Amino acid sequence: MSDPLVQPLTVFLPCGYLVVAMLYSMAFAGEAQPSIARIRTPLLRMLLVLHVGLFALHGGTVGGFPRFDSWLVLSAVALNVVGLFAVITWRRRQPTVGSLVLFAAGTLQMLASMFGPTAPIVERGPSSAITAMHVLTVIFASAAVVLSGIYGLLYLVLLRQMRQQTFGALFRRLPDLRQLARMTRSAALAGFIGLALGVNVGIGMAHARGVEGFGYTDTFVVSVLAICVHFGLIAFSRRIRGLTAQRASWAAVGGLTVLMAALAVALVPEATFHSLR
Amino acid sequence: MDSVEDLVLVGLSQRTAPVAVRESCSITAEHADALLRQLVRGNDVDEAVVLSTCNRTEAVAASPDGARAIAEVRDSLFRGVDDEHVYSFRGVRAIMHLFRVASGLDSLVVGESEILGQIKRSFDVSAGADTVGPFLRPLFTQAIGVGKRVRRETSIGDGSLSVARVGVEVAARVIGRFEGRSAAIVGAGETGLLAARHLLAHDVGRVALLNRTVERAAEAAVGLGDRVEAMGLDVLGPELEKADVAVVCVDGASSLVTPKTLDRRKLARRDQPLVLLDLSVPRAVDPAVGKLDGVLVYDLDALIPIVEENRAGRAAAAEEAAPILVAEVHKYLSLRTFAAFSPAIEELKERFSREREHLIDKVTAGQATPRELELAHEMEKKLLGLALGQLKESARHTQSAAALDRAYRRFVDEIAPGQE
Repeated sequence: MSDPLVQPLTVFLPCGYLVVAMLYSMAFAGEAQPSIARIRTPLLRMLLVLHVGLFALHGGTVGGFPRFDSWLVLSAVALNVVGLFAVITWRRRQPTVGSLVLFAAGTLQMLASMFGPTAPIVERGPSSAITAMHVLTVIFASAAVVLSGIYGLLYLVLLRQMRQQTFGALFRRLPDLRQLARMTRSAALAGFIGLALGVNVGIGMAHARGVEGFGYTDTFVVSVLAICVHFGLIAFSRRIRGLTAQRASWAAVGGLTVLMAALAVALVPEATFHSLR
Repeated sequence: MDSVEDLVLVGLSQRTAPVAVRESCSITAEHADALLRQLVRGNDVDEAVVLSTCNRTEAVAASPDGARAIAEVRDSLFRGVDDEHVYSFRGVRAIMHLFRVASGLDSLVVGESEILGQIKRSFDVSAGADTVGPFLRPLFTQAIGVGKRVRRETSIGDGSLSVARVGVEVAARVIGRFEGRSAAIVGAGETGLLAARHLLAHDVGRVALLNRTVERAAEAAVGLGDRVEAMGLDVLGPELEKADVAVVCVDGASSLVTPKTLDRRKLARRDQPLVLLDLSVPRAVDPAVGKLDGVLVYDLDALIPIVEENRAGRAAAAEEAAPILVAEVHKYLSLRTFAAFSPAIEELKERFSREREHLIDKVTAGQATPRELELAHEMEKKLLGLALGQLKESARHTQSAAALDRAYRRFVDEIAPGQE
């Protein structure tokens, strides 16, 4: 039996994220933004607590660490995206960037809420700490990769505006190009470290348990390693000759697109995030 | 000074006088001290403050007779200057003008904030010369407060109105902070030096000042500090490639910077694009440069609309400032009226006190207990408070806010037609 609070939370969270995204987008109005926009930060923190609460309820329902099916993974990525954003902007506010980040998180959570199973919610997963670490680091890395892609997209949009000499709200309110490039690379670095750690732990577990069908030629394993290397290159692109901020941003957007496409393929109902159980 | 009409303001500014006349009437701080002392030495001026900036010279005076004070100030500060260049205001109009000046509404660049500091310094000079007293001290304190309030509550100071500054702000959207960054200025003329000053004010790490004649660049660099290096145009290409932001402002040198000037491979390898601001007329940067990878080119056609937009924003803010100024003039007049009641208030307090003692003696036959005395004191305080409250209310209604608003709009129409 699922907890009675799971259903309302599942419905409330995506709506909440989209509302907060809307409040953050008001920052584009600058000084003229309505006073209601002030509630966005406390509201965002409340949603974070509720989202963590949702996972706690899942854990409580199964009496341990839940097995992450594809939709639960999506929800966890959304939670991590928002969490990372909240941490990054704890001191240095970036409300205009927040509108896009929270819109993306809201969309991910919307998909998770719409298509994810509700009853029984989740099964109990393997209870080892190593498994939990594997799952959590990969999810954290995915969130960082999503952020890197979003920041990269904003860099490209702003650069385009500058080339076209359009001095509108995006030009005035987004962080400057150099800062966006730094954010893209920092998020990519977090993604690279998380993926490297998570994937290696996963490979180690597969070896230790002698998982049938596991191998370095496996499409899934190769894809994840490729994404890891891809974002590693973006993270260290300042030191790579010719890999300018603009090219790194294109690469981050490309990486995010590929990741989303892979998720879309993987997110077949009843399918798990990967078949290596 | 009995009436507010005896408060006068006489002066000239960029609105009424050409620069040559303004220069001839300019007063240094040292000269101001002697002038102020001389003004109050006679019988026509009790208090005086002189404000002298590059765009205006004005004197505000409190006097026993407004008409004579105007003549005295006119003679002391603007002797020999044509009447068409000098304005004089009395009473409410003088207060309105002073508040407008403090708010930056009467400045050449509407909303500029430098004037507020200049007013403070002028007031300090007058205080030092002991020529401010009970009339001008509160007036100038309030004028400075009005200036701050208008800037705080309206967008009068938002957006730059100089192309060089707007260009630097655009560059900041690309490279963020200027600390440790490198800049190149091509042309050691007025605009080039202005741009260099803006960049140095933003703590740019290094400025290469390039000019056709290196001597001229070196001469200009001396006044800009040790972060500026003077060079000739022979190193134009390499210096542009090194810079994070470059400002080109040369006269009559079309296509000084072409795609051939720059090394495309180096540009393509830059992490962030070079911001190239072309402030020259005719353009000195070939439009084809803007199509290269790693360069963002902005010329005057791109920057002037931002300046115009900022100017329009400030004009709208000037309209927003009108109710604030009217309310502040109203407040000043109410305070003045209330201050005029001071002798009457003192007398009222004394009478209340006498009546209290008389009554308590009469009722208790001189045998009042401490409790009865305390009660009598409390009643006196309460009744006096009510009476003073009524007085304040009357003072507030001496001038109707609506009438002041109409007077303000007439005044603005008269001095700056079409501004508000």
